[in-house]
Amino acid sequence: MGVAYVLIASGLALILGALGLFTFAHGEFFMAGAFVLYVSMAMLGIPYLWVLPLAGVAVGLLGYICGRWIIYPMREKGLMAILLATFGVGIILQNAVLLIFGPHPKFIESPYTGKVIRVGSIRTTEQDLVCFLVGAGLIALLYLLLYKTTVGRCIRAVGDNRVGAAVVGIRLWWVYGLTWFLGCFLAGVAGAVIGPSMMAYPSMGSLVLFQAFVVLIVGGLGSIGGAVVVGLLLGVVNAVAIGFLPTMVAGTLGFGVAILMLLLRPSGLFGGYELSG
Amino acid sequence: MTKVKAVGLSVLVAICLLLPLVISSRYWQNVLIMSLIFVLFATSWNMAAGFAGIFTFGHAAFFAIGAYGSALMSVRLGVSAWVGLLTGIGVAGLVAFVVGVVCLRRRGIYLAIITLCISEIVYFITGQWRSLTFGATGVLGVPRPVLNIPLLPKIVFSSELAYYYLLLILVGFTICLTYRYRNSRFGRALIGVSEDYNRACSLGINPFIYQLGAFCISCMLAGLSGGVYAYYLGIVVPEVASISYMVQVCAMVIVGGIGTIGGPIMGAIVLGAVPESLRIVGAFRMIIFGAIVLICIMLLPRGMYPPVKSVFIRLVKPLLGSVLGESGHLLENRWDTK
Repeated sequence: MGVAYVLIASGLALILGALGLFTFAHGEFFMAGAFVLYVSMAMLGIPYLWVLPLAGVAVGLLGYICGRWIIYPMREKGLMAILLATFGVGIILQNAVLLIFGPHPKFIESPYTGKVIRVGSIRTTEQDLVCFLVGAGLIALLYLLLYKTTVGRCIRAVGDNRVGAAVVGIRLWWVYGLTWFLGCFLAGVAGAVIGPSMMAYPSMGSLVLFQAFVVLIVGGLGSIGGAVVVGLLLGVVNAVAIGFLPTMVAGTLGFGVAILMLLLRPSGLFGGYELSG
Repeated sequence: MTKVKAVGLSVLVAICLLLPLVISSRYWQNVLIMSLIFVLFATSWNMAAGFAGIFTFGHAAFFAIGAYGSALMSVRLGVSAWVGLLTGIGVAGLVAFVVGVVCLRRRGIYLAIITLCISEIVYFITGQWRSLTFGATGVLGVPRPVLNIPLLPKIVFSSELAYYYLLLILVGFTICLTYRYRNSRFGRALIGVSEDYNRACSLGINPFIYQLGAFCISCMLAGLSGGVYAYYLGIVVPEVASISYMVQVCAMVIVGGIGTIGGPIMGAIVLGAVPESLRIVGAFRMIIFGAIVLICIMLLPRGMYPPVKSVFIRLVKPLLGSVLGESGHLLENRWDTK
């Protein structure tokens, strides 16, 4: 699960860092990724490794549409309106899936589930290994894209100063669409790698989204590096906490930490953006 | 108050009073009552977010605290509904005070996330603390309120009709309160804080104290709406603290018009009753809900209420005024369209 948190939280961090806004639809994009996996594997019979990029691109395109035609036109309308709009997108997406596929969890079989690998005393399934590799690869690619290419420089420029970026000729609508594409691409792939071990159902997004929020806050708002470290950490802490603590304590632990973090050190452990207002 | 306003207001009140008598089906009375409960809830959120600039995302937590506080008092201790309601409001206010003292030091998006986390914690606790809250099954069998004044016949609010009037009184009280609140020194100071924080500080307003007060009042109202919700349905489940309630209320306020008095009322009725009246199956209804929200936010940035109000002022008021021999003032109440 840690990898899913990392991927979703990095997507959130990317959107937050570049565009200065939160999205509540991200859990739904994650869910959409799992359903793309379900459709293409169970119905169309496409091999698993091909589905991963497919899920990413399909969900990414959804994100592009959302960013380009819904979020971009309302960029000046205030935080609350944008938050609510992303909620609206999420509600529509979730219920559309509910309408098409029904509420029952869909089990997805991947060629890697059930195969156990042993390295010394550590036991893991191949699926988890695939998860980990895909996650690490994507984060590395994201880093290269953001810091080594012109496109990445554009996104970071918009994050630093939107008006300034527009003045020097960066097309804002394009950056909005692209950032949403990338953020949702990550969420879609996360859905596809986690899908086989979690099963796909329409409301699976919200739980993961909240955990991703916690990751984002503790790691530092808008900091992708923070999201990676804290995401992995949360995966481990969750697994341990569920084993040792009562459910009530384990469930609220993350939120408690997040509140403390916001109060004491709002820029997070790894120093993300200090958002004004 | 001008004559025009008085006539308009009395017509409105008359409509509210007669509406449940005209609509005789219990189903529609139920829709009306739920809309009124959401009017209360939406107004309370608007008090914090619209007037005071406190963008809390955890109001559902206080709604749930109010609902659980009242319901548990009645079910566990068997006290009367009025004591239960007051307890719910009191507990909500107390928690709001503690949360406010700690959290109102942050603003904007930070405050939104902190309060969101708090409401998730409340959601978890209500779902898991079985020995107090009955866990996920919820509190069952909350009795309807009974009014027992000496010398008068006993009133049991068991029928939809009676409960509607009870709620109407509460809603009327809340709207008057909001009106007083907005036009008082306190309310004006808060609007100042939410519009220009630094300037308000420089004028000698301590934003923290004012916002804390506003937050507590608003959360107590949310607790009240939670309480009447509990007594109406007779059951409280942990889902009342979930984010979906919060979203619905935010949507109502923003679609109706944030920072206005009429906006939350209109939003609650439009978003509460319209999807209900379309009578479509669950998932499809939520899609329509989402679509209404999206379209309204994109096309009507200030919500539905200001445009409706300006049409009303331009057309109806002069008409009514000429009948009554008075001229309508176009610029009256311009604070409403803030």
